[in-house]
Amino acid sequence: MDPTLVSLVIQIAGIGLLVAVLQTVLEQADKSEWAMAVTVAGLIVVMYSIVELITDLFDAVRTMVQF
Amino acid sequence: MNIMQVVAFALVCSLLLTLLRQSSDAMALVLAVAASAVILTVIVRQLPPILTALQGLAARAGVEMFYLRTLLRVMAVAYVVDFGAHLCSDAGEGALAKNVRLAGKVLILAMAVPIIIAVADVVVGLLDQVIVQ
Repeated sequence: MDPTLVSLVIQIAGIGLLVAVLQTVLEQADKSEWAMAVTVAGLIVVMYSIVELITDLFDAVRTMVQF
Repeated sequence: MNIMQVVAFALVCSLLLTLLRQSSDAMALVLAVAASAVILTVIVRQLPPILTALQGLAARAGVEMFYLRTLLRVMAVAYVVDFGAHLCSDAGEGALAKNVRLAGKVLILAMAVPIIIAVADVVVGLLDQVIVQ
């Protein structure tokens, strides 16, 4: 499997875990607005990588269709 | 591509997903989308030799390229729609998943209309020959 793709997914998982831990910690400390802000920020950061992955996928599908 | 690598990657991602889903459903959806997209990309990149072989077979059988290309387009739409709809339903959005499936069905019908008309033309031609005789 393409190593760049796999490392991208592992990065996304890492950021996701970090955001989840921060969310739990902040909710425990009674700062749930910060928790929501951290979740949204993490989602935006991860969206960039996701868009790149999905563009790769749809490009591959389009070259297959053009046959 | 090694099938063991793909399976191992999918298992590792499932493990991470169960961890993520406990704390944050949104990040779990994002990871599910990313992992599915990567696996599908790896698969699609293996397809060109198979497609060339199919093209060769179709040419030998006398099938027009237009029909083969429409068939491949229909298959591509089916896979993409399945990918999106399953991810939506995994995130708990059953209504969105159903609507994505409906959109896929309508698009496939729109693409298949020329073939249906061609088949109807052939059938009517045969009937005309039979009736004339």
